[in-house]
Amino acid sequence: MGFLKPHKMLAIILATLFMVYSIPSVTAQARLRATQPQLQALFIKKITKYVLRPDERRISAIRPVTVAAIRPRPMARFFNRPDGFRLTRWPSADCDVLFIGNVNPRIMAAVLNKVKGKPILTIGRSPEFLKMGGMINLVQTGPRFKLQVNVCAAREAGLTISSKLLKLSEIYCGETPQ
Amino acid sequence: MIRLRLAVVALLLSLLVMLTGNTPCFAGDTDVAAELENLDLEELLQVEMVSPSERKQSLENIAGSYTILTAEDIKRSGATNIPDALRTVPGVMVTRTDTDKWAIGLRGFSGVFNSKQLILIDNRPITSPYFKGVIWSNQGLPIQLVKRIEVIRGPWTSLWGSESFNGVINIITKTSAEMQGTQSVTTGGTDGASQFLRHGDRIAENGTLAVYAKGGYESGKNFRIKDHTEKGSKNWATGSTGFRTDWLNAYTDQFSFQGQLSASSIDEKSPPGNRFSSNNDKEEYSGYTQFLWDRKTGVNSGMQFRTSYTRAATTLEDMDVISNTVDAEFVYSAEKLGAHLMTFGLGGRYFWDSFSQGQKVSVANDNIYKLDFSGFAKDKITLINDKLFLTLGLKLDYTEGQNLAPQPTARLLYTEGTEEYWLALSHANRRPGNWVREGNYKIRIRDREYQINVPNNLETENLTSIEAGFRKLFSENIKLDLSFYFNSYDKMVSFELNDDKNIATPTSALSGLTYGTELVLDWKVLSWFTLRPSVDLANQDFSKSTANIPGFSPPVNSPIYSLKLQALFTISEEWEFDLFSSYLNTMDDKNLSTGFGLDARLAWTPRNDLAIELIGNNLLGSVSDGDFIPTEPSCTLRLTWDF
Repeated sequence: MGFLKPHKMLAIILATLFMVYSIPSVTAQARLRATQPQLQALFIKKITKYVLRPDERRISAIRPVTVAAIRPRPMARFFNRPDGFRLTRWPSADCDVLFIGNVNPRIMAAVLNKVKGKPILTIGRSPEFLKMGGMINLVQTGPRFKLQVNVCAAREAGLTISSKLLKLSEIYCGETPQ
Repeated sequence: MIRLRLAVVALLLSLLVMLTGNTPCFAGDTDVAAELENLDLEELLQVEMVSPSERKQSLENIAGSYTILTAEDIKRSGATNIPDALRTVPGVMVTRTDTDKWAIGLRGFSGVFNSKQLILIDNRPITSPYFKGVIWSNQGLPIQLVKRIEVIRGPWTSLWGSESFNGVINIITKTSAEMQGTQSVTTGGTDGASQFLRHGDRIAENGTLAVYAKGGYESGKNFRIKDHTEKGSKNWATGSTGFRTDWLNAYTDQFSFQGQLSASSIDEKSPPGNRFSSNNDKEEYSGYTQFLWDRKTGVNSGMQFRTSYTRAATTLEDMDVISNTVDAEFVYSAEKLGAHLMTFGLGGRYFWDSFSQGQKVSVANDNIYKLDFSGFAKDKITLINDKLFLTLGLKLDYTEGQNLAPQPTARLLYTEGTEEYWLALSHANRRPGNWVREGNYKIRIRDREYQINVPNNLETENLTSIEAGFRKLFSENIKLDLSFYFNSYDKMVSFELNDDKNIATPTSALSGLTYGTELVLDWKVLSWFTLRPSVDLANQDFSKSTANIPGFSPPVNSPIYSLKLQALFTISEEWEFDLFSSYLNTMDDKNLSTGFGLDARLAWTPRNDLAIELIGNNLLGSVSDGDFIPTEPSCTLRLTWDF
């Protein structure tokens, strides 16, 4: 009865499904993708190349660069290689970079109060981060991050942000766009 | 037959390809990882993120068994009230016993009164200090306000005191900053209708205010009990209104002030299995106000002061109760000192109840005044940096005229990469509530009526518990949570029956063991499909007890298994389809089968500010005989409009 018997229709549908899902996704391979913690880790490492300490050395020139994070575990596997970076849990007395992430804003404020004026590069991922005195904010726009830099907070801490990083970022002083 | 087999093989192959095709290759792929490492900053800005949400797939560093329901989880469960939202949680048994009554049990001992877990709203206990249970008919908290529900299984008396004997359920509501704008939620269906309205606005640079109101009507549920349809209470009308204001100071301090008034009326004639039905029109009201100051001084450090006043008018059969509670607590979490992370707390509660005694139900005194104090200390000691932690905790509960009740615990947590192992040893004490010691009423046991005889010397209930657990993230998409517990109960309240005089005397004579396991999987099978199966096995063995009848929240005294499954389909940006199924039965020949429960939710979001949901509960309807009380099928349409 009918044009095709049910089992044949099922076989055709399944074969089509099999083919569709077996075809390698060219676009997926052409575009590089990463998980959020992986991308955060990559940004943290890269950004240290474009920030000068009070002694005029790049942060990345320190060996190892100590990165403290409030929640280090999601990023731990991306710091697990001999590339000059050491990830530790905040509080850490000798960190060069502090990654705060998207935590409760009041925790963020309390932690930023503790490093205020110290030459520690603070990186966050929150709409309130710059307003509270954070230096570099990772802002998620769609599937990508963009950068916001609080030049005033960096200056107060004796850090200098390179022109290349500024060119790729939105520049703020506190929460005021420059 | 061969064609069928071929089709099955092809189907399995297709599923395999679909699954593997969606496994993220970037994470473990060393070539891709190396390529990413070599990108410069400009190129990095072009890299796309996958699975941007970190919500579910994280480990929480807690040496205990817990489940956190987010607002999204609650919405997708289709729950229209808080007890219904808890049904999806493993280890939690929720039974709707009447139109306005629920019995909730954590790891057993489900009972309308004398339930053995502490339930809080924004850290304010709603478990009645007199009855030691939650009177759900009188809460009136709109589910639309709930941001998160934390369900913590096992004894946590070292932190929350004696009422958290079997666990804690903490309902966290949204701040006024999270309730900005106007929202209307309208529901209508076979059960009844409700309307929720909320408006939030900024009242200062750092201050926000939200006000809300909700009204509802349910015509009344029918219940299937031992193959008979029994009518429940009818014409349940509810109304509540409230506010919340939050103010931030210097970014680190939050001040919150909130309050609510609720009222309800019902033609109460409860189906069998419920005690204390007034068989009359019943009206109840409640209200509360709470102030909170919360200061953060670091990631884990800070201080918090909370105080609240709650007043409720309740009717039990023919007795009216007006209860008042004032409480205050202060918690201080110190900065980490070497390997020690210390937390201290002090709390006090004063409650006074007045009773209009009834002919059928009465208590020993017309008025009762009582003062409780408590203090706790907790030290989380880091034994191996970032890997091994030992938490020692002790709470001291003091109730007027009684001895101090120490509530100690020791908890060990080991973390290794994406795995967590934990072990806990706790001892809990629980003084039976005033209701058990002073109540004067009749109960029905095995079709026979007994008059309660006020007991002379009830002892403190004891629990010694050993728990262990394991959590693992297998990938970005799969999380496993496994926990075991072994609880030894002693001196639990039970009834001693005198069949000659038809008298039941509460007595501290129930002893026994409860042990079991909970296995939970959270699996994002595909980007649009999530499965959450759970298995809960538990055995209550109180067979050696000397008492001849269990008490207010009787153990089932049988091995039980409970299966729950949530399947969430995000069909497109506009359409969602969700299913929840559950089944509970004993593993012996008692056959307490609840039958398969099936709830479904179909949601359409044509615009960002508008959602239309069709929710069906108990869709399989027909259930097998048993002592559990499932309700009849129902269907609800829910319209949510933000403007």
